[in-house]
Amino acid sequence: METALPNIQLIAILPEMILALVACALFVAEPFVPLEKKESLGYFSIGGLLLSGFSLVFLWGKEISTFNGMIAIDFYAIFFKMVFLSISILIIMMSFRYIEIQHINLGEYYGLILFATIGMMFLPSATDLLSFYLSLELMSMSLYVLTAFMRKDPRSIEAGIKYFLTGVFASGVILYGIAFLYGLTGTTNLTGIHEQLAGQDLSSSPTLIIAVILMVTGFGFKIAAVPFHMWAPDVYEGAPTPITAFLSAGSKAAAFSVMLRVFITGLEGSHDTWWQILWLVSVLTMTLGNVVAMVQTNIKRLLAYSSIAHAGYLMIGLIAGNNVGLTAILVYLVGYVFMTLGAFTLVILICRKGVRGDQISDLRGLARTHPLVAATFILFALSLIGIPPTAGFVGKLYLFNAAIQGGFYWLAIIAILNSAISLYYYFNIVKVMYMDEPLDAMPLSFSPALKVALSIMAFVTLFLGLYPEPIIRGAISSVKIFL
Amino acid sequence: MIEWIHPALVFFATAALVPFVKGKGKSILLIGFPALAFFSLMLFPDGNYGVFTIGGFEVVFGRVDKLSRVFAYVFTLMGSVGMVYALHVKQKGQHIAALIYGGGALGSIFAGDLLSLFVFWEIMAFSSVFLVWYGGEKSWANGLRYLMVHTFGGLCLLGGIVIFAGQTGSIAFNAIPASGLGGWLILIGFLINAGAPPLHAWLPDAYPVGSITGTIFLSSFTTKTAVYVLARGFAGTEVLMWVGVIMALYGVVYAMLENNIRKLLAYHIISQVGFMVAGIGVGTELAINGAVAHAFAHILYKALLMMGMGSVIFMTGKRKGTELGGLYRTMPLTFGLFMVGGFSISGVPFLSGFISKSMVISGAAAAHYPFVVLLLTLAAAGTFLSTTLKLPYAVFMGEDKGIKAADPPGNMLLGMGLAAFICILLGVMPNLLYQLLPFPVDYHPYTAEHLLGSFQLLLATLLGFTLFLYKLHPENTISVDTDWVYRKGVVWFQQLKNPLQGIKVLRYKDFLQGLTLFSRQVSQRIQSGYLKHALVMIISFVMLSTLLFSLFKGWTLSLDSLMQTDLTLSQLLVFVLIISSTLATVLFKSRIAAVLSLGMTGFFVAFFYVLMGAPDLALTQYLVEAVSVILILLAFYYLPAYFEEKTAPASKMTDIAVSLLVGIVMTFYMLMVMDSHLTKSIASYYLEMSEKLAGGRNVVNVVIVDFRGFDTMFEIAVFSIAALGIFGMLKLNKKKAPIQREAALNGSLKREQIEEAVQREVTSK
Repeated sequence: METALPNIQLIAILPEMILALVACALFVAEPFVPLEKKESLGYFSIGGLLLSGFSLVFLWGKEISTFNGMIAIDFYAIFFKMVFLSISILIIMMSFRYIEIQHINLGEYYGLILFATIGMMFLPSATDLLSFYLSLELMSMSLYVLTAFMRKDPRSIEAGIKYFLTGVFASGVILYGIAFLYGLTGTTNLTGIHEQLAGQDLSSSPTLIIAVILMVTGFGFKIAAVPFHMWAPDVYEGAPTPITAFLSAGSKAAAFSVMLRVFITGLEGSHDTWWQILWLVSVLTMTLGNVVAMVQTNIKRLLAYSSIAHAGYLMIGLIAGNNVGLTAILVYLVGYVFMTLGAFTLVILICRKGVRGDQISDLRGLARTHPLVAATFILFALSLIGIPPTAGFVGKLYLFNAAIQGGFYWLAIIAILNSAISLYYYFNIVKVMYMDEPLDAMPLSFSPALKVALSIMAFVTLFLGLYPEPIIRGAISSVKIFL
Repeated sequence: MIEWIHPALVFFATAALVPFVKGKGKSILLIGFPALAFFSLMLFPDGNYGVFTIGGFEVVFGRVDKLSRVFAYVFTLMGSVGMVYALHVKQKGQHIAALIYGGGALGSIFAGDLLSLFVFWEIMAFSSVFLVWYGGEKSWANGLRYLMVHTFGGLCLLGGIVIFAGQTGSIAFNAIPASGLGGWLILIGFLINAGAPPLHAWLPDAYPVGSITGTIFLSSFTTKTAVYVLARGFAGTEVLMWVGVIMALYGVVYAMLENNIRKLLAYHIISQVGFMVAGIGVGTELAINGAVAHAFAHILYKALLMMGMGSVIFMTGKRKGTELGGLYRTMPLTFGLFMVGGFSISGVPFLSGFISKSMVISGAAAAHYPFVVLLLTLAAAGTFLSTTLKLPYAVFMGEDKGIKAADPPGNMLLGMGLAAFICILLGVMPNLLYQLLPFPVDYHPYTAEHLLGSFQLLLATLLGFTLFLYKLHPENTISVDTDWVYRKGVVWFQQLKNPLQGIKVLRYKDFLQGLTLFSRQVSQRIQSGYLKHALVMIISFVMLSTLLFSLFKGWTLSLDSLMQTDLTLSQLLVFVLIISSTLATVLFKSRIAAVLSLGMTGFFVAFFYVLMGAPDLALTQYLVEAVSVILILLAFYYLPAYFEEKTAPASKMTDIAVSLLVGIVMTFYMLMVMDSHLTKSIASYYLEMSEKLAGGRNVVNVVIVDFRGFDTMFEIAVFSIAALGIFGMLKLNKKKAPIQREAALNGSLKREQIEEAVQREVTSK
């Protein structure tokens, strides 16, 4: 039998190939760069990310499916690739000063971020359970290492080990779910699965339901949904702060990007089954995340719970499963990325030599010493609560709209109640910044790159609140692939 | 050409300018700009201004008609008068917050669509809370509760708007039917701001602790904006009439029980807004006119009353009726001006309350709601009793407590004077107000009948007051409000904390405390940081949801396939060995023994393959088992030597339960899957083609080295890299940081030790 190698269009993975080359070059170059010049490696990787972003131009408007239907290029994939590239650029810009203070300014740091980014960028392109699983692992493995990157700090090590052990457990669960799906349909291709499921009535087939439960569990872990969220506060607290931000923004967005593919492209036929599980998970996630955040004294833990709660909001779009819901997820994710990164930047700023700076009390009187930074934080807080005119408001408006159009009134009402609760803990930080007296002069760990990054985040958060048209258009044309 | 100047814009601009001016300039700015906005209202004719199209929806920023104009007049007027009263305040933040707040209120008034209404609505909530917070350290918690309630209300409104717009396809803000989820949610959002019980608790909670000058603005804008939107959207909704009556009575009853002087006035706001809401509910032209006129008058005299009590607090520092008394001697001007406000609110002729309040009642009478008329009249009597008689009696007359005080600074007196002047002006010349009302007015307050009726009512109340004077003496109490709505759900949180404490009386503010308590419990008990708990949660979720589905979907298990299998004696023996070595793994106390018996399990499984006739698979399994046992033992070498047993019996029981659950559900899974119809496997393809295509008879080998040759090659590459990595790490670990290993072996990995080692490393370099 003649078996020719499948016709592979390498251009489909051009952005990722560029990144992989840059990352490998980083690892090779790293021993030859003296300690005080490691920053140049960071700029080198930003350059790589920008180049990779530029290469997306060649994919613009194309519809490609290659690697035997494992990798797809469409507007949806490009939309998310751009999001992930911007996240990584911002993360690296946030890192320079922080990793110098923590003595972890090594080239591997940037290299691992790049590898994690490659994994993320493959995820929205994954149209096969195998390519999805491999990309997920590439992302996760890099993140496990990054979490434990402060290897002289027991908290970071502990976080890394916890994340790794629970993470591989969750990966195992996903794999188990994949096995069930493959056993049921005989294919790992998402479109193939969809066709197989459509061909026969499997709505109450135990195998399918078990597969769905296992998939929800695995994804629930990756997006830190309750009750699979237990790792999040500990890991967020222990990891280097820029990596925490990376987890909170990038890893979550990446998991959602592929969750839509798997649940809408692959399993749309069993929406009746999985919305029930997701509904429960979403309500638990919103409520527990918000309520438990109220008593946190550590900002990173607080933001961990806030990020848990946001996973709950985002799931509303998927539960609704309608066009508005999917659009809402994309719109909300973009806003969420910038506002949550902004909030973490604050924690990075107050960290300096001898001050961990992750307690809320470390922010006392920030408004006196640095009024502009404090005001920026209010902007992010408003956006996280979902108050106009910020990006968070536009996203929430779309999510509520999706829930209501899908007939999920209770879900919308619970989300509204939770938003009111979330106000409590964000404004608790505001109170400490505005009402308390500063302890000392509070020098902030600014670097030029960080200033630029913070301005970008604040600008985007506000801009998308005032003029959300472009992002809404982008989201609408992205989700067309699901129609 | 300027088409139209939005008064909200004037307020926002003023707020933006405040930080840059000082002294006289500040005074001019603060008073002048709101006044400018007031006069600008007269310049432009009715119509829609500032129309934009955003996202396919038409957003109207400036809908000017009679209804919005009259509210804008009183808001801008109040902005000016309030600023006069607040001129002495040094914190510019207060002025800025008040101006943004006023701008938000004006924006809401002129919003011609629901979306911009919502945006201004939120601006109001978020700026006004600062006026509460400027009340001092103690107001923080109250302010936060205030903000949370308003955020919730705002989001209800948003939810309602989304549903409503989805149904009607338009976001224009006109009459909204109080039906369907959308309409009701919008109504709830409005009523929260109006302070309707049981959603009113934020009002008497936050207003009394606000800053002295801030409370003036607070009592003017939020509730009256709500009155406006109700009049615009829900005029003639019958349920509002009863809500209004309840509010009117409710507020009065609580005002009479209250001792804190500003809280008393806060309850009065609820009562007075009740009159307006009732008028809107009646919905006739006369009643709506009455509601609007009453809102207009009420803003002014309530501000006057609040200013009076604010001055008392400002000068004496005391907030309770029982602590005050006999101030008429030391603060005569304040007393006089306060009484103007007091008589206004009671509806004494020739003052503003007289011309407006009676309109509402007459409106209800004309629409034939005698019961409503009766109840509102009753509430009016109560108002007179508590505000005009009891409060001044306690504060200004009564027993002289010998408090040293004087009239407040000039600007405060001037502010009060202006407000009092307008109250009298409107009372004497009612047409000034009447011509502003949304509907043509054919109503004459100064009829003999009406005058006589009011005097009768007032005199009767006065008589009662003098007779029962001793009973109305303020008592130093905290009146318990109907916050039980919030309470009930919280009781069990409290019990969670300490079952012996039993049920405590919980109040509105305890709702938050209950939540935080619950939150603390969760973060301590569940979020323990133990990996085991995290895994147990995940596993339990999977198991329980599977079980739930199996119950609801009514899955059935047929054990046929299981029964058909026949076991030989040797197979059975191997099974027994597998099970017993597994049990031994769990039960052994020694780690080494446990690992070895785990290895045994693996070996017996491999032996089972031999019995099934797959020796090559068995060989692989043997190899893997041997390697993994050795690896685990190697890991133990690096771990601390001791292994303390810390598991409590209760936690052991959960562990056993979870393990059993996992075992049962997994078995269940396997049996289910074996039963269900799976697609054809590719095994037959390999069996057929292995000799034809690859020329090999050992199918497993053919699959590994031929069919999946690339797989195998990359697998080997990955394994080699991993092995290299492990080797490197082991070598690295031996070379440096002996302290770390030492500490690790002692089981005491302390932060200080590591930092010390790091320090040494750094210095040696």
